Amino acid sequence: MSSTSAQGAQVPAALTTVLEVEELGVQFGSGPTSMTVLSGVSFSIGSSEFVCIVGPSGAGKTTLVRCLSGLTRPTSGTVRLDGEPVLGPPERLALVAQDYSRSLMPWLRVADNVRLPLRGKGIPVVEQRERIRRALDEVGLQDAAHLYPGQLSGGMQQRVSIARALAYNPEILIMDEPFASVDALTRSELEDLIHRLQRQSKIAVVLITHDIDESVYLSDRILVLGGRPASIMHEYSIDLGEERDQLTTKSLRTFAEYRADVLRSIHAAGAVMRDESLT
Amino acid sequence: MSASVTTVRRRRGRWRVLPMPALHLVFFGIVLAAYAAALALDPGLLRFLPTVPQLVGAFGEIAVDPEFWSAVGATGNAVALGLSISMVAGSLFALLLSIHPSIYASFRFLVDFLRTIPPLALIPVGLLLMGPTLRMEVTLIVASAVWPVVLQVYYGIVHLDHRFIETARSFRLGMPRTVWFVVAPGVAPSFATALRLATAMTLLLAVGTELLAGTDGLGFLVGWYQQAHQIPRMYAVIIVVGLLGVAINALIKLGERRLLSWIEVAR
Amino acid sequence: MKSSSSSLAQTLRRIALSAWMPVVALVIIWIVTTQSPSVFFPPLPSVLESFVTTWFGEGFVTHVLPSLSNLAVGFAIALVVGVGLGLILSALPLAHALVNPYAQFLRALPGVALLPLLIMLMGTNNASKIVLIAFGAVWPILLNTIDGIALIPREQREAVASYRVRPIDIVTRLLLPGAFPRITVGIRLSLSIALVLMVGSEYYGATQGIGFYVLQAKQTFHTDEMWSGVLLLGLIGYVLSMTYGLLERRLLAWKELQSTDSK
Repeated sequence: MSSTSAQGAQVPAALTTVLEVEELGVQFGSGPTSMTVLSGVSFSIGSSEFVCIVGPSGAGKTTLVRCLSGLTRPTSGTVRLDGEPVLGPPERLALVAQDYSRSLMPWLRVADNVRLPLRGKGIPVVEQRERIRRALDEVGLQDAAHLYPGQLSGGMQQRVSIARALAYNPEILIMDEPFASVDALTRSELEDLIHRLQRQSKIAVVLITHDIDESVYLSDRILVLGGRPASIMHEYSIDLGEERDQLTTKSLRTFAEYRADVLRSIHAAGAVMRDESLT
Repeated sequence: MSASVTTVRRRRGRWRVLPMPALHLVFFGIVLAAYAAALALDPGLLRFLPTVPQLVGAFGEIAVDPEFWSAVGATGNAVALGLSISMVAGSLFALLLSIHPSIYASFRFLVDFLRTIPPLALIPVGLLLMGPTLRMEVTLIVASAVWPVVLQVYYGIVHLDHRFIETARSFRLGMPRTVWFVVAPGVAPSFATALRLATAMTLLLAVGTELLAGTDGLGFLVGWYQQAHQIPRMYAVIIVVGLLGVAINALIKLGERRLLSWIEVAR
Repeated sequence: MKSSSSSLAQTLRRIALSAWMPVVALVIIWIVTTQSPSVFFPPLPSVLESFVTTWFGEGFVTHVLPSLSNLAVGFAIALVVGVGLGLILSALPLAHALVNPYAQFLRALPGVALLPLLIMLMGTNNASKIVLIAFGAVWPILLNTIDGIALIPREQREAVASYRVRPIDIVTRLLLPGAFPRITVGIRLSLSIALVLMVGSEYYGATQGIGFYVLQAKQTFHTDEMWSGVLLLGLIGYVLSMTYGLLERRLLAWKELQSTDSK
């Protein structure tokens, strides 16, 4: 249950660093009307870690995600993937967004949606088909390959989104509040799914969420983003074992303790932000 | 690649260096210069295309020509009459169609067939029956412009979310208030679209009839000047016709914004 | 469990509902024009007879084929230019902003007004007709392409960008299908404009075509031939519209499959 005030939240020694964020800052506008959303954000992600980033709403989590995935350039600082600076969407990174319904192409069948990122990258068609089949199998949608996204429920659409990311074989998967738009039962199913997939494939996962239970349940490490401008205010190492289970894990006393710590941090972060915004 | 995803950073209506209106002016200047250069390089074009001074001169000439202004009046007259009749008749017919699905089903084939008759095809018929008169022109305009109105207004009425009407009924608003506060605003966007489409048709038919059937108006002038080989004037009138269309569209958009500002137009 | 006879009855009822009015109208026209024929409204049977002899005879090659081929070529040009230019202008916001006022002006200009100009520039051959049709029909397609692309949700664009999808796939699998619901509105409008201009172009200094035929029939007072021409034009318009409707429904099949509760 170690917690460190985290300038330079570090990767556990046994893992190689995949993603490195150094003094990241994002400022919108210029002059007196400018707004600094993020400042001095630094952390690293190791190669098969599951890291959750949590924080009060409005902290800038989505802005951070956009910088990590190369959709926006930070105004200061760097993001490095495998040592290479991220200047645009990097090759070995996949992003799963919150609004699955608007990030899948409704006019393409499920299999074609999963296939789209694989086109034109020099992957032989046979292997493409194999990847698609395997990815849909992993998320339990093997029978839905020929359907259109519009025919699927919200949870299933998000699974297609996840399958699309998996088939892409990324080194790191970034997920921006991916389960926020589904009902609670589907949410727990999807949580278990992503946990199992991550343990199996050993890819690094960065998951942004505002659900504290979810963050403790899934992570190896939790980073708390907060303050105004926002930076990593706290870091927690979560040690709940390799296997997680909705019923037993969440009844553990250590789970409750982690949860309380994280909640307290988020409250503190929120209070700082309120104070800052009043000055 | 990120530039295509993040919006191009525009600083307060300026683009890179200059404000937008200045850029438009510069571009217009470039267009004019290119045009003049093309004419200078190929004098053979002068048979068909006016030089810039000639064009400007032509504008001056028609501006003081009573024939031109009476043509403007004639076209304007036809457009106003045709458009208003189309909008009223079309809306009423749409209302009739929306009363019961069986009514719509009955009229469906006729409406679908009549609306796809290319309107200009009726010019010979119109000439035969009524001669090159204003009445013929307006009849043709209405015969073509009424259909988009019917379809759009019908669509608007029928697709009115019934939950609004149910809410009105549960609050016992009464018929007149329901119509004013629920039905009319709900149909208004479709009505606006109908107006836009009807206007395009009206203008097309008005100018087309004038040109091809010889009724009075700007279309007639275009043909007349071409045959009398007064080329710069012909171009000037064509541009006026275009400006007329732009002006009407702008008026409609203005009216839309004033009356329908509460709608979040997903443009 | 619905019995087959009741669904048959339902289908018959539906057909009867759609058909009674046209049939009645036809009968009335038949009776009125045969009982009291006038020069303006010749008897329906003679119109139909003229229709068959002309359009299933040599009139097909002399008039119908040239008209329809002009229409096809002109519309095809409008489609390619409209969509292509729409894609380009969507990618170059500055170019779009600069060109927009001119586009708005040209789109508000009724294409017919350019007919004398084009005849003068290019003569009375097919080329001028095709240019007129293409010019008039391109605007709804162009403007709706630009609008349609702009309406594509940001999330879809970002998903495609984050996976580094190559440009050709972005165009064929994101932009065009995504904008199509909007583009198709423009296509419908363009079709009717193209048809109108096809006819109009044949009224002015032409020597062949369905429009020319109708005009000539009127001038020689062969009103039954005139009406048969009008009838043909109406049929062509109807068939074109219905055919495109079927095509459109095919292409938008994915939209209809969307259930209302899963967004």
